Amino acid sequence: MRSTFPQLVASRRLRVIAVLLLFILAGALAWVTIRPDRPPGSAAGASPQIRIADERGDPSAAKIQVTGLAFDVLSPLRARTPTVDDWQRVLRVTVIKDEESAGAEDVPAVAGTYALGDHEIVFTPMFGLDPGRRYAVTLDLGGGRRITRIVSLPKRDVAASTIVDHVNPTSDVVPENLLRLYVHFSAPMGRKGGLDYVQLLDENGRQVKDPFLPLDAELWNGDRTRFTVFLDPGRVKRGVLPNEQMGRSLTEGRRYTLVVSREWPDAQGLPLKEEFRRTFRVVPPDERPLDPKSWRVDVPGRGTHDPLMITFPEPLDQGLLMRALGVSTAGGAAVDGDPHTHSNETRWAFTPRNAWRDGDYQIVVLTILEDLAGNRIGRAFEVDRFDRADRQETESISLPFHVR
Amino acid sequence: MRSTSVKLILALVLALISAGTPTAAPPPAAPSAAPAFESIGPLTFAPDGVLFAADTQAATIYAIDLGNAATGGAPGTQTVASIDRQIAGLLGTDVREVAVTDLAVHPKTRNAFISVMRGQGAGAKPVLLRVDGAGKIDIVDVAKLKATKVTLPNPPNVSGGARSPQRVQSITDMAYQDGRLFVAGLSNEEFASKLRALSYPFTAADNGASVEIYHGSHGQFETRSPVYTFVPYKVKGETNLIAGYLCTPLVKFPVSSLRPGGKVMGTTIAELGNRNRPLDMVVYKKDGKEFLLMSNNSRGVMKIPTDRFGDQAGITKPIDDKAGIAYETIAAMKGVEQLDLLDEAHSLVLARSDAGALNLQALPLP
Repeated sequence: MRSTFPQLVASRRLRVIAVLLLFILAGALAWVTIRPDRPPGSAAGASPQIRIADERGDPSAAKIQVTGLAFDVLSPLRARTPTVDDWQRVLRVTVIKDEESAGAEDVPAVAGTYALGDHEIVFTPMFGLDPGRRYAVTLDLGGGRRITRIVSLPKRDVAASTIVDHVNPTSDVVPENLLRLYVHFSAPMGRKGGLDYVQLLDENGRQVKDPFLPLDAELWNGDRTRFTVFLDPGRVKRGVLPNEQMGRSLTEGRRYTLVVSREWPDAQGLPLKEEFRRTFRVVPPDERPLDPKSWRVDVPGRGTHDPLMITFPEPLDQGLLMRALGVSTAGGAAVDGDPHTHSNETRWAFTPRNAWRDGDYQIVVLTILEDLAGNRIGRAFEVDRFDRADRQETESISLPFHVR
Repeated sequence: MRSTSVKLILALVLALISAGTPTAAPPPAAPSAAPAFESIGPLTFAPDGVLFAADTQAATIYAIDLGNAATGGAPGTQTVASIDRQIAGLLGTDVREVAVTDLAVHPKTRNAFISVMRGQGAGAKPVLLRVDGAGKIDIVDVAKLKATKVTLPNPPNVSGGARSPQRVQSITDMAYQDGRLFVAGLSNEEFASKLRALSYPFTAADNGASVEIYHGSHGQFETRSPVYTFVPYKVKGETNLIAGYLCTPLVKFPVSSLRPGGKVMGTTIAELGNRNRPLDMVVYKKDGKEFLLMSNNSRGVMKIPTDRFGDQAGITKPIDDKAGIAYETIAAMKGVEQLDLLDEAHSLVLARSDAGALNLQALPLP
């Protein structure tokens, strides 16, 4: 069959159209193949949103979310597994130093991990975000286009509530050679602090110079509610150089005030609710060793949960009283119970978990027990120990008693 | 059918392989796991690159195999100005929220490792950082590392309270020598350092020998003052610990005298001055002579020759200010808060400038 000329022209036109259509189709297919993860409804050209994602309300789990990103911005990050530097070229979070401008170049980017979504990057800082702190988020959109947004979590609006609960020794009278103080707080305290926030004032309100021992390791109990303050024992001990040069921190017959500053930050970073002051009077130094023979022991009756009570002729160190005194059976088995101190640490009471039984018991006293001036059993703080340094010391002594 | 046979054979082979796994090999001395720091304080290295890091809050010492964290950076340590601010920026916080707790130089890569606490109170986080030869600061991901650990026992407690006894030991300094890690600790209530010699590799049950150290400075009086810093050092062939105390006796005592429950009498070989607290010390060699380099909070950095450590008579009489072995104050080393040896010719320090910035600096050994 032969075609007429107009038919031929028409079929050629159709062929050209078909080829053109084919090319367009191939091009479209290739485009889809090269960029297979381009999602429908791409938001190219829309302005990105930068915000803090804090779903759990937990600053330590806060994230920075950048949404509405054009596909081109993210493509370098999709090409291969990005390094930290690759991520930070696109999204960089920095801390804004107080009273300084954003994006200062000398500050390193905040460490954390990045995750890529369809049109978003989520940055999870390694240590969360501090409430109230301002962070600069700089986004590189390519082609020299950069945007920086300042983000921050709301400052915690919590009122200061931690107080100094009490200070041991609780007595208003202390010896001139007082060795240590325990400051008890109502809630856990922060990591900074210590001696910077404790002062000793004399009767005229003047600060006593360097009365405390500057320790490198600050001495806290496990939950950071008790802080130990040592009076500089160089100044406490006679004949020791600081004592000779500066005298003791405390002088007999005078009154002193211990001041704990309100500025001491607690575990929440908040100051104390109020300043703490305790005034005490200083009496002559105590240079006698402890003598258990002078202790009065009140023994409870059998079948009761009444406390065993020891009364001392002077206050002892509260911290040591709570662990250096205990009760065991005559056979040495520890008796379970709770110790307490009373009457300005002149009394130690031990309430047993199970009722006392008829029989022999003993009070176990570790020889580390001390009074307020560091005197131990049979050994005063001032004693010259040169000739006896090699002698092995008894770790504990026991005082027998009988329950009937 | 065929497929079932193949599976059976595979299962048999697997069973045989499992059966062939050696079971008679001795278990490791202490189990190895990722360290779980509650806090991070003193650091020290063994010569082979094992890092000892103390968790002062948990009274636990980890011996960490740093793996790639040891070798991943450029060798050496580059000076970093205002490193405290740099670290704060990296950790996403303010410089006031960062407390540097120690600095130690890796014996092979010469990278600096710095322990810090980020934040306050219960929420404070321990962080180990590495500074390399390019001055790059990296956070070491300790959760990916392997470590063995030893936990120091609580101080004795006989009260029998129902409440669990609180851990009240603090680790103030550590030093390693010849398979032994020396650890100075301080309890909350007793005004005396406990010193332990722990064998390394750690064994599960070894809590080390505990001793109290006395020194005979300030006339004939012992004081139970805590040890601030110490180094192991051989004096006439015998390993001694050279220890620095408050106000500032320098005391030596032989390591052989460290026995459980024993009391050790130190010999005060120098009194280095009053109203002063020693911070860090290292021993180095220069021009064939050995020196002790000691940083202090108020008397600067002292260079002390060690050649008389063996013969110096103990100081037992009251002295005015200084006595015994003399020292030279190194004026070029100011504000030094942390000190370690970088290499044979340099120290690495964290030094506080007059303006208050903390700088990581390599300084020539004096």
